[in-house]
Amino acid sequence: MSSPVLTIARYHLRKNIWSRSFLSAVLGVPSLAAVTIGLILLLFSFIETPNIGVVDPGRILQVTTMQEPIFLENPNIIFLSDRSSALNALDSEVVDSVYILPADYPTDRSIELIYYIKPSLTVTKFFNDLMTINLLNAYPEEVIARFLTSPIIIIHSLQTNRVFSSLGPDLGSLLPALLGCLYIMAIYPVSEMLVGALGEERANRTMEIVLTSLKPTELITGKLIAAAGMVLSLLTIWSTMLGLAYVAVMMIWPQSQLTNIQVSLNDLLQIVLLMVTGMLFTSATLIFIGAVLQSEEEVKQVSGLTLMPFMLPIYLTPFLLGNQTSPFGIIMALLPFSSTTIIAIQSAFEAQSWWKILAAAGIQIASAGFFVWLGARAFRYGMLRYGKRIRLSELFQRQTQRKSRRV
Amino acid sequence: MNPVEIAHIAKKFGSTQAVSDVSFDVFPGEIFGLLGPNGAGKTTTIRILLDLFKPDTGSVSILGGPMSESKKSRIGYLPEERGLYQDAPLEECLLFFAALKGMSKKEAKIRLTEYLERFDLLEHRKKKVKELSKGMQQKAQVISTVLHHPELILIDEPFSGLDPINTQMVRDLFSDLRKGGSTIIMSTHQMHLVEELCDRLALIHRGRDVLYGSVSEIRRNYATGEVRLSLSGPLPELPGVALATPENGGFRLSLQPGIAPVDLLVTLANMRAPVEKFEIAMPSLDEIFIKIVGENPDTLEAV
Repeated sequence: MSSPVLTIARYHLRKNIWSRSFLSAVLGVPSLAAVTIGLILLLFSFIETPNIGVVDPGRILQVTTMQEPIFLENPNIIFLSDRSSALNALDSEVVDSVYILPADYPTDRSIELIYYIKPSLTVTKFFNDLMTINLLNAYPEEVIARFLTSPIIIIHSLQTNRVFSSLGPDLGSLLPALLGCLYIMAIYPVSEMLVGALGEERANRTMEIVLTSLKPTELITGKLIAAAGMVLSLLTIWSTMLGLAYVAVMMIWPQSQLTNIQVSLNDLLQIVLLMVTGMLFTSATLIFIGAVLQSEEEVKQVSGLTLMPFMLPIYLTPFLLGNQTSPFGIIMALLPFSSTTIIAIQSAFEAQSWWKILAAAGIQIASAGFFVWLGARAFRYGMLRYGKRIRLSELFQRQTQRKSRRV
Repeated sequence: MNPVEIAHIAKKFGSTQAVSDVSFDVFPGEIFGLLGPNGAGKTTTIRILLDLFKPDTGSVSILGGPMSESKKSRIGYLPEERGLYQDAPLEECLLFFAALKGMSKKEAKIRLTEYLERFDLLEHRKKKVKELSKGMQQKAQVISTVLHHPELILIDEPFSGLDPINTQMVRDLFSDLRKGGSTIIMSTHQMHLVEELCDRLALIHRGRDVLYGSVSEIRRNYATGEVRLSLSGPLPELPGVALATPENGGFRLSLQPGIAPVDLLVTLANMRAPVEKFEIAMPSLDEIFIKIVGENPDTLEAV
């Protein structure tokens, strides 16, 4: 790789990484996540712990404590002597609802529930679980636990080559999809910086000086490397933050579902490869657009539209996950605009074959190469024609003319 | 071989013929003026020279042949409008352009400090380019053009936005570069600076070179045989003078056909006239420019 390319890449990478825009991009996504989690916690803090009254003449409920769910407290149980004191407690709002058990509950099986406001599903589940624990009090803890939770079924899908749990997708297999989302979030600010730099270079004619020192393809390649570097920097910083957040969560809730995350190195490698090639393709496309269009405003408007296809996979998820081997699924996975995000999402539900990954990456690299080639011509023929837009057809035509008339 | 040889180049953009037929050579170590009214095709010619555009027809030889990547570091270019990164600190920006020209960081830093000092910009080196005045930015642009000591320098309106003191600084720099062996092609509208600095020039008008040669030769060719005369006393009756026009405290004398300035000088000597100044009234480049362009005032649309 020639030195001017690295000079361009180094300069733009350093210039952008130390800019305010990059800092706000770095902090933007984690801040948004922190605010969202904070709001959820705040919302939970406003939820009052419900008080439930229980009339239990048969003394069925010997055990009244249970493991508390994350963020919430179990309802308080207030034992009441009879139906009349239960109604008084309801009227005076000491309790929100009252469960009246018959003295011979094990044979009767009917429980009376009285309330002004219907108890939530959480309260209902809590009471049902409490009844189970107490009725099975004589059995070992493991047996009680099995009764309280349905069995965990491990599904081995021979069609998709994935192992699922009936509890839901494994968090480890969701990691590529998460990275895909981070990738989309990284593309936006980097694209904005890239396009902004192009607009500036066009406006103050820096481009004209730069192009007297190196080839347009070298300039574009340098910018491409810088853009890819910015995305990778963003992703590295975000991944580190995510890792730290994970460690923090594990320290606070050591028994949470996050304990045993199994990450497939194969899946991770596949998605990282597609993120790199996807970024090269995106940058090349935006640089080409920057070279063809004229005003800074025009470039910004069109670049926003250009990024729309990258969001498409998110809207198409339900159609793409049903049958990934359908022609629609395969085409979308191979389209350079959507392949990175599509495959990232598909990867959460189905192991991806390397031929598909390599084909998608190859198409992205070839498309990036095409846009670099076209962008270089656009720079040469379009960048210096201030105020006059160059059309795509004209670009190809000029190239032909130049060759035939070259002296 | 000359550093620049252009033969019959033409360039068309869409329906606009920016350059129709331009030819000139630039000799080693000279300052060459590229003149012309707005939209005449000067900038397009410079861009063709720099290989930013390919000519539709004609040939260009630069530093001994067609433009190549290795030659780019031997050329310095200053566009008409400043092309520095506005948000970058001055020193960082200039070092970046020096790196693109193949200079090592160490060498570029040493040389840049010298230039910044010479142009009174050293204390502003950490400032962002956009925080500098127009004149300072122009000086910075000049520095970025010459920092790598190019053999061939192409400068478009180098004195734009400069006050007389800074103009003098840049003029001195160009003179030094010429002494150092650099060849300079300068496009400007400031004719008095062309007269002062340039050895030869080409005047482009409506995409064609309409005037080409050494400055003194061109002025001589356009001389009308008039004489400027200042006397300490009144102007006597002078035989052979068709018209005497007062000018700057003296007179501008138009001679009758067949009368040479030397004949008038002999007459004045014989008359023992109190002559303070006697000179052949050479036309200024401004006058020649106006004469040529004024006769064909149509200009092309700017490209």
